[in-house]
Order: sequence, then structure tokens, then C-alpha cells
Amino acid sequence: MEIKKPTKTYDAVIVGSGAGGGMTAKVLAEQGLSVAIVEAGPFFDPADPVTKTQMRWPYESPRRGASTQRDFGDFDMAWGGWEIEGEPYTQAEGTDFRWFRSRMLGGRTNHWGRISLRFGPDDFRRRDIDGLGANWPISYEDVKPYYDKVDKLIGVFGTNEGLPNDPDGFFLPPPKPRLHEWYYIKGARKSGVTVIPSRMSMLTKRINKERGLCFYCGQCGRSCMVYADFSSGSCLIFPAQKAGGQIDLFVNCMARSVETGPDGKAKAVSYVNKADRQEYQIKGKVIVLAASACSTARILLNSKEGGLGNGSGVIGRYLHDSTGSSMYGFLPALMDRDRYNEDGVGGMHVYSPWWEDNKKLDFPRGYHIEVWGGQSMPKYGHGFNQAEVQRALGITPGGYGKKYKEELRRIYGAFVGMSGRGESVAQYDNYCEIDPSKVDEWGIPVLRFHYRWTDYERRQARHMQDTFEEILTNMGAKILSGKKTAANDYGLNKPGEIIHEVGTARMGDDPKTSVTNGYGRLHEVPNLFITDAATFPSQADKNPTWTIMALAWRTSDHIISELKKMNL
Amino acid sequence: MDRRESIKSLLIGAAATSALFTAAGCEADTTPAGETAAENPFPYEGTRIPEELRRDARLHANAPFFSESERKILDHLADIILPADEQGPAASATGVTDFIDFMTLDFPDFQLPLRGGLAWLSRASLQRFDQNDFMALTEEQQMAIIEEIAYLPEDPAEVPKPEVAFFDLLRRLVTTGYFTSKEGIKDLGYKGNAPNLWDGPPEEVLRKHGITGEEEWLSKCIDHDTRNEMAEWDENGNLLT
Repeated sequence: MEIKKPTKTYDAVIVGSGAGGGMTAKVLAEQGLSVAIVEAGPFFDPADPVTKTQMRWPYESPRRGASTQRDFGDFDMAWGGWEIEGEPYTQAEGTDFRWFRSRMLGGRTNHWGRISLRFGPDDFRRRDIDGLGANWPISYEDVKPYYDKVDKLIGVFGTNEGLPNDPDGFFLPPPKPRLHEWYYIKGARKSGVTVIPSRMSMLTKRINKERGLCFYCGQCGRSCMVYADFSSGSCLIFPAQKAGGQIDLFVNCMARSVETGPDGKAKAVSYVNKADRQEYQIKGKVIVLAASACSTARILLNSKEGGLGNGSGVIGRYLHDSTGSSMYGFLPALMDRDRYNEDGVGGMHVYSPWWEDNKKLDFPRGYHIEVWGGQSMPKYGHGFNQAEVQRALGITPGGYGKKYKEELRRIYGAFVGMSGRGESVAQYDNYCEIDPSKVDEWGIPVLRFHYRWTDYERRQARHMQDTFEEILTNMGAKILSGKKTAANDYGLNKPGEIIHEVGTARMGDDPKTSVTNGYGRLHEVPNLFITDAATFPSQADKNPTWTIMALAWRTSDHIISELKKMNL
Repeated sequence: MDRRESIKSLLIGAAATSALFTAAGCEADTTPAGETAAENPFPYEGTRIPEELRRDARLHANAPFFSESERKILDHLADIILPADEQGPAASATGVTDFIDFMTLDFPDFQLPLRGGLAWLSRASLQRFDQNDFMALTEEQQMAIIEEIAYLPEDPAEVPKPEVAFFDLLRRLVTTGYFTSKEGIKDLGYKGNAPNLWDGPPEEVLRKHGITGEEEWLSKCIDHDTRNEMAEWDENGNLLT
């Protein structure tokens, strides 16, 4: 393999090629800057027919798509997972944090759920509202113009609903609800739970001449070969390169640290090229970290004793993931269904944004509800829950033969589930740090995690379980997953499992308590920026990707403006 | 056999299973099974990363897990669980035994309960019918043994006996194997994995389920006739095209 060696000094060196890195590269390259992207995984293009998993059948996998090897199954487009050979992390006692990494160009944007939610005005000032955590140094009004631009550039379907903390945008039309989603709509309305069309980044309508339109295979998690869904490669990096932008990709290059000069400025990124296992440095006038919250913290902590730009001591601190808790059931009304193609887009067509006022509740932050079910493609695990269905229907569990086979046909597509995705409260004591005793196979010291949920999250999960039970009951469903109780933390997912980890280099006005300013610029290193979710002081009850991109764009504009003013 | 060959044989291995099944003398299904490797110009291994290929190669190097005689019993049990009927073939004709064999290597926790269960069948056959080969029993004798282990406790909290747990695990794997096979998907009636313009459930389905009066919601949804018109909005985010 030919080893690409950095020879020149780039205007900007960006670590990471996901939502943040891709957006930063695009905006800077369009302004004429020479950009290098350092990506830990190989090149990936969703359109490549050799690597594509889209439109494959379960029997094309020897394990029928089971998750024994890839965390979300053989067809999921994440080259990596919670465990990566040769790239471990460790846990403090009592912690079970799960760190998901996709090692590939575009990172986790290749498989993510495409749920594209703006943070609302309240999400930038939670401390003002409930006295917990920290406010952001910026407001919704600062970010709104960038959300608008992201909507138009990437494409997101949804509807303008005029909700106070789930802002309107520039939406493409949403797909119609599936049958089980109509049942959900009715069940949710009965309980006074808001339910609206989903907001997701697939093209239901043309926004440019380059990208293909959704053809409703329901497989966005496999990454779309016609670029009808958002991924960083297909929507940001490749178009910018095609338009003449100077973006050099250093793939299979694992960033280790940011090097600084005697003037305290960042001057280069050190990395290991995985092909020859040799160390290199790539020089940049501006350095941008967009490696994902935990990787960005790791790079900063490995850059200097005590951490680069860490006068505040909060790098790695305030790590927080979204909460998750789920329930699912069986809808007798959907037995013996008429068969028709119900794939739709990859994910739900309807959802419930947070509808309550936390002042009246015993937990401070909200959650949204995601809905799933329907006549989806059979995969590994199909029929595994038949005994529970039989018990719910009063049939002796088990059996065999023609009767059993017929039962399986009759209940196909009659399942419905819901998952809460909530905001946790950022805690100083939930953090990642460098484990002094261990390195990965590239010789880079690894992260050690410290993370415990608090009663804020447990009470929120209890509310989820109560709500799901009520809605499922309204729908006429029989609950199969049981109702989770205090004994199992109300079904709370382990931290990291929702893959929305944020907060490890939070932004703020005070350099004593924050790492960057409102532009993601390190207080202590003027030409070093962060454009991933490390800067988020709080998570919101929304998926972080849209905000990562809006902020990355805003930071990139700031970099351009500062360069023009000779401030960098 | 190199890895490419072994993966290929795994994908087309169902044909061999079908032959075995016919030899066992049961009702044969003539549907040719699993020609996916030939139909798909892009092999599965192109979708794997090097670590996954290395692991798959290690698994294939240990295949098959089950002996020929064990595989015959598995084929037979698969067809007891999901026999041929008007709508679909018997499970063994769709490659479930190859699938289960692979899964025992891919997920080794399956090995003991499955192998232990097969051994229990031999003991039960000997104890009840003085014949240690389950396959040599009459159909009536076989079914007497299967009836003993085919049902789970009504109470999900009650731990089933190992032989009942064995049959339950096998039932799950056979069910998944069948309904994820080409024939099983057809049997189930899954209509997707094909390009289309999703436009909601058919009218008669909505009527049947009492979904009416939702014009307001539907008016916001996509009209596929306009999907190729470039999106334009006014300054308030109202879509104009």
C-alpha cells in the first residue's frame, strides 16, 4: 500500500470525518482553504457496489444478519462498534460505559437513525430553568440561521408545528404514517401525548441535482447508495471535493495528539498511519478536532501533561449520553394483516416530542418517543418471541407443526414498540480520563470511563415506562417486554448505548469552567477548534447531529472571518 | 477449501441439505434452495471489514460443527417444527441446518444445549423404546418423545427442563432460519426490499382499521407527483413547490 505522507502545511487540519468534521471541511474548502482530514478508518463511499449492504436479503449473510459480529447486525453500515479489536478502553469500578466508534470515512453518519432535531430555545438555557448543569454561552437565535442552512443543504422532512421548544424549519414533506403508527397516533392522543410527523434527513423531494431521491427501502442504517439520506461523505465531503475544494483525505490514520509551538499555538496533528504503523505529523495553520466527544477529549488529554487547553480541568468531564428505555407489545388488531410493502423510510414516520412541563414532575429534563413496528424485513431473531405472543393470546407456549407455522404467519407485522430518548443531566463526576496503565495497538494511551446514572435519569425512565404502558394499553396492545421497575433502573440503557455522548470539552464564557468559547475555540489555544459534540454543555431531549452540523458551520464561518482579520 | 469457497458453499449449501432431506424419505419439496451466490454479483465478503473476514474464516475452518448423523436428526426435527404445507416448503429444504450449524460456531453458547439435547433424544429413545437411534423409531414413537418436550411452562418465570429448553432453542433457530430464507420470506408475504414510492397503507386497509378523518395529517405528507420539483420555501419555511 502506498503511504500518503503529508508534505505541505494545510490551512486547516481536521481530525474526524463525521457530521462535524465533514461540515467543517466542506465550509472551509468552499472558501478556498486547503484542508486535510485525518480519519482513523478506511475510505467509504455508500455508492460503492462492493461494500454496499443496501437491498441485500437476510440469507446473503451466513448469520442472517445476526449481531454476533457487527453490533447492529451484518448489514449495518458501521465499521466498528462498541468493541474494536486493538482499540480498547477501560472502566472505573462500578462503571459500564459503552463507547461506539465507526472507523470509516463519514464515521457514524453512515448508519445513524437520521433523526434530525433542532435544539429549542430552552435547551440552551437549562440552568436558568431548573438550576442544574450549565447554560450554553450562545442562544437558539445564534444557531437558528445555521439550522436553517443545514435544513436546506442536507434536506430534512417534517412539518412546521409551532411548538415552543421544537422549532420549525425548512422541511420537505414527510411520508404518510404506517398502520401501526396510526394506532400509535390514536393511543398517544388519548393520553394527551403530542404526536407529529418525524423529522429525518432523507430526501422525499429534490433539493439539488446531485443526490438521488428516497426509494423507500427502509434501510438507511445501511447507508444509501443513491445518497438519498444524509451521510457526511455523500452530502458534505464528496460534493465539496467535486466542486473543486482542496480536501486531502488521510484515511486509516489514527490521531494521537495536537502539537503546539513555543507561541502556544497548535501547529500540527500527530497520527499513526495504520498501514505502516509509523508516526507522522501533519501541519496546519488551524487545527479542528471533530473526532467525536470522547476521542476529542482523548486527543487533548494525550497532547500535553494534564491536557492541552485544560486549565479549567474539565476536559473529559460532564460526559453525558441520552437516556433510553423501551417497551414493546403485540397488537391483536393487527393479526392476519393484509400484506403490502411497508418499508417506508429507514425509521419511524411519526414521533412524540417532549410534551410535558418538568416543573410539574419529579425529574428535570424531557424525552422524546420513537415508535417502531410493522411488516419489516425478517432478520435473525424473527419468531424468537413466539412463546410470549402465545402466552399473551392464551395459547400453550411452544408447539410445532402446521399449527405453529400458521400462528407465525398470523402474527407477522403485529408488533409495536416505543423507545424514549431523554436528556440526562451533565455531571462533573461522569467523565473520561487517560488510563495511565494501558495503550491501544497504536501505542496511544486509552480512555478510562467513570459514569453513573442519577435519580434524575431513573425517575425519567420510570415516567417513560408509565407512559409507554398507558399508550400501548390505549392501542389495545398486549405488553410483551414487561414493565421495568426500580430493580432494573426502569429499563435504562447503559450510558453510551444511545450513542449520543457529548459534553467532554464544554463551551462557556468562563475559561475557568469551560474549554472553548461559544465558537468552539479553545480558550487557551487560539487556533484550535472543536466541531463535534464535545462542546455541548447539555444534551437536550434531541439527537445531537443537527446541532453538531449547525455549530460546525458556525465555527467554520468564524474561522474564515478570523483568518480574514488575521486573528489566527 | 479456501475462504471464498467455504462462504460460497455456505450460501448454496441448502441444496445439499435438500438432497439429504429427500434421502431421509420424508415429503420432499422441490423448490431449488439458496442460489444467492450466483444471483448476487457482489459477494458478501466485500461487505466485511478485515477483522470480520478473519473471524469468519476462523469459524468456517471449524465447520461443520454437527456430525452427519446429528445433521440428519436436525433436518428431521426442523421439519417436525415447520413442515411443508400449501404455502411453503419444509424447513430443512430452506437450509436451516446449515444456518444452525453456522450459528453454533458464531455463538458458541448454542453448542451445549443443542448437542446435549440431541444426546437426550438418544437416551429417551432407548429408555422408552429400547432403541438408541431416534431416527430409527416409528413416527408415532418419535412424536411421543417430541410431545414431552414441545411445550414451555405457562409461567415464563419457571425454568424449563434442559430437554424442553433444547427444543425451544431449536424451535427458535428453525423459525428464524426458515423465515429469513428466500422461501420463508415468500411464505411470510414480506413485500419490501424493492424500490417504490411509499404512499401509506392501502385505502381498504385503513378503512378496515377505522383510520378515517385524518385529512389534516395527510395533507402535510408527500405528494409523489411533485417529488422531482426542486424544493423552495418562503422565508417562514413554507414549502412552495
